[in-house]
Amino acid sequence: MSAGVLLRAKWRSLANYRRSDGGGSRRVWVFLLLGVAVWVGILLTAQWFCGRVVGIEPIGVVMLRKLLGLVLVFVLSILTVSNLIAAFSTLYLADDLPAILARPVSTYPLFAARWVENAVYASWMTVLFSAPFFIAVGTAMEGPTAYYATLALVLPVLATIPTSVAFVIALGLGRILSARRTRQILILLATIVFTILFVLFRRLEPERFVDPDQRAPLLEVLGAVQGGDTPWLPSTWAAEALWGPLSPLTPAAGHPRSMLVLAAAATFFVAGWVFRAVFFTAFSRAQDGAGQPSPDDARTPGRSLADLVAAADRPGHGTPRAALARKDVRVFTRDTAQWTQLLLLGALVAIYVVNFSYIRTAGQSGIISPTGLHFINLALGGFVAVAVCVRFAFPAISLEGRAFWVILRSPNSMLDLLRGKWMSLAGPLAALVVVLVTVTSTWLGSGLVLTVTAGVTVVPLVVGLTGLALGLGARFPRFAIDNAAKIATGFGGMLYMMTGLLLLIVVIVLAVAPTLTLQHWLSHDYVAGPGRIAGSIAAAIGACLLPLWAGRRAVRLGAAHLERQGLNA
Amino acid sequence: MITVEELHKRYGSFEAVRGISFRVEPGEVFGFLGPNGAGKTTTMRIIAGLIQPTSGRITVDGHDIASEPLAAKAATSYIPDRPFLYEKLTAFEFLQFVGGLHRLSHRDLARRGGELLERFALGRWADGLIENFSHGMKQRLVFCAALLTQPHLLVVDEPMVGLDPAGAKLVKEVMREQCASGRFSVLLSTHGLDVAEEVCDRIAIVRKGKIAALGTMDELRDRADAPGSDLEQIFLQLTREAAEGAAGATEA
Repeated sequence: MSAGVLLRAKWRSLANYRRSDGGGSRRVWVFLLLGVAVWVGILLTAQWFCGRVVGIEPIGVVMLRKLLGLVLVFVLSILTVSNLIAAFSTLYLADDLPAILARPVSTYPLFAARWVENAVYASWMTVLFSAPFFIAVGTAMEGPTAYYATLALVLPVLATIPTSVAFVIALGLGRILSARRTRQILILLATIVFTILFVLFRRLEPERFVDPDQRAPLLEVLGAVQGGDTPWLPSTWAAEALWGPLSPLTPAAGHPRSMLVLAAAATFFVAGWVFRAVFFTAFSRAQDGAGQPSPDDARTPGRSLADLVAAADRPGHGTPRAALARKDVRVFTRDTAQWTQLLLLGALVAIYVVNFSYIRTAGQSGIISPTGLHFINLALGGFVAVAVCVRFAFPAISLEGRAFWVILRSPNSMLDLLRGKWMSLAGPLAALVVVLVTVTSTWLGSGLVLTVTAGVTVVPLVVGLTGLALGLGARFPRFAIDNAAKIATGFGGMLYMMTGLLLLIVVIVLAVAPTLTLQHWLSHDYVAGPGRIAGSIAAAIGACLLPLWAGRRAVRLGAAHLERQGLNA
Repeated sequence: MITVEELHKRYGSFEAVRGISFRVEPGEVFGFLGPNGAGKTTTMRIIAGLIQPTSGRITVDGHDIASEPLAAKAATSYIPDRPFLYEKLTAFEFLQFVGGLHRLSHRDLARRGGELLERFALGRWADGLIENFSHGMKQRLVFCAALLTQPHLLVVDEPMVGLDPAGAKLVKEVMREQCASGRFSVLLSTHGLDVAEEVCDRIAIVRKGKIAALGTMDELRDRADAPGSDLEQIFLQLTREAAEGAAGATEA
């Protein structure tokens, strides 16, 4: 059996999506249109941004070169994380594996098919949506055709390296540790990824380009850029390869394109060799923990029934909402697959904090005013909220999975249960974002007024975003997918990201007038005219109520859909 | 206990259920038989409140499931053909969760939960994670959860799948015991003709979304003109007749 036969089944499943119930064909078109709109939006924004960077005399071009390296490291980091997470599923947990392995499938076709599947699934979105930035770099530098040809080669080749590396790590860990120890594996992976991310970001020192003290010795900056950042990293080779056609007078050291291609080929063959050597043993060990009771578990069921009955015979088991919340907490703490969400949350917070050192120095150098910093802070905090909600609130209904019938069967209104979920999710998420925004606002020296205003603005925003994510997650549930990371990658997740970002922009725009009016009054004793005050109050009310209304509307929409469609949702 | 009138369910251009009507009396075990794709599971799911019908009326324990869905759900328990459960909960935690959704008092939950787990031979596994259970253990746990809420109607889709002979015997005993109270009914869908023959008071044979025949075993024998036959022969005879009838109608 060839790899093509194995991949054909996947391709046909994907192609048949448009034939499935629930407006599959219509969804594909909407999905495509939305995707194109986002892609073009990123391209236009990146073109504007890169144009501005290049225009900064005399170091604009150098900054763009550095930015190119920074984005490539970021892309490589995202690809590494997503490939690692996907590799465990592709190699050990996929539903189709037992059926495939029961057939006479040779090792290398199996490896090739799983590798391609993992690479495409884990990388397509990152590659596709990072491409506009690289195109924008080319247009800003008026790059030749050779640049775009190099880009078409470099980006896909760069994306294959994390796939091979992820395979080697996942196979190695699966061989060394039993898959029953997934928890330890994930914690180990989280530590590795965070360490790599942190080291890479610190090596790039993004803040030095706006720090007046650091910017002054231009020769030092130029030297740092030309010397290369991390010579052993594939992203550095990719940056060198891409920059070559843009700056023909300063040829790259060595042969970065060849190094990248050779590294991709070498890691692919190493991954294949490791796969051949350990996959079947590792897969076999993984099955020890996949749904079959081990003799140990069978002998040690834990507390006795009498103890459990005695513990349960106490008041406090509460309402259906409480039962649902308790169940969610229990499942989350025991389901290590959901812990990867925490990993992504940690990465988001880390990136947010790292970005802040950049913004802070921009503020100190006077490039951006304190009020401007306040709104950038709000926008970044809101963006983190949108991203956190898509990971935690959006999959909340889909994660009920095939056991959703238990909830659907209960004598409770779906709206009531969804509201319960909304409240239990909104509290922690709002607390997280308020802490982030308050700490960074204080760190920026925004002052009490702006810090309190930031906190007051983000609470209804995050509550609303949580409702929006939960409601759209209920409107577009994916019960058949048990991986929380995959749930948000469909049509509903994309729709949520669009509407969430739109809501964020509208709220920030609405918050401008009341914030400025309040700041002028409290800081400068300037009292605006009655018309402006009335307008500011109306805008402030709008900024608070609009997200709550959007969240409430989405939750109602989701509940109505689930009640109407039931198991067919 | 349950009245179904002119039930229809359409998926796009395909009509899975085409005008089914029947009644189930209190204390009765009512069997639903039919070949694959006959519309049995769709009908059961509509009665359980898991999907909405295209048209028709269903009342459960006097509650219309369209206008009083929560009251109807409170009176009903449902056992699906495949026991998908929360794998990361323990058996006892799952019962607590179901009890919480049904607003059971902590006292009732503790007492009945413990009794049912013992009755269904899951007492030893009360604190074991469901992911480590076999299919049969999960099926028994679903029965515990279904009976925990003291329903008036039990809707069971393929009850014996995955159960060992002892488990199957236990389930049949429990269904008969519950019905003996006179306030409890069972609507049972099965491919196991021996189970239907042994347990059911009346049987409906469904084919292509319609009831082809309905009655007691004796009435079905008369209808099939096959005195002394077992249910398998009657089933084959009646489903063949229904198929020929449908083909004749199409040709005409």
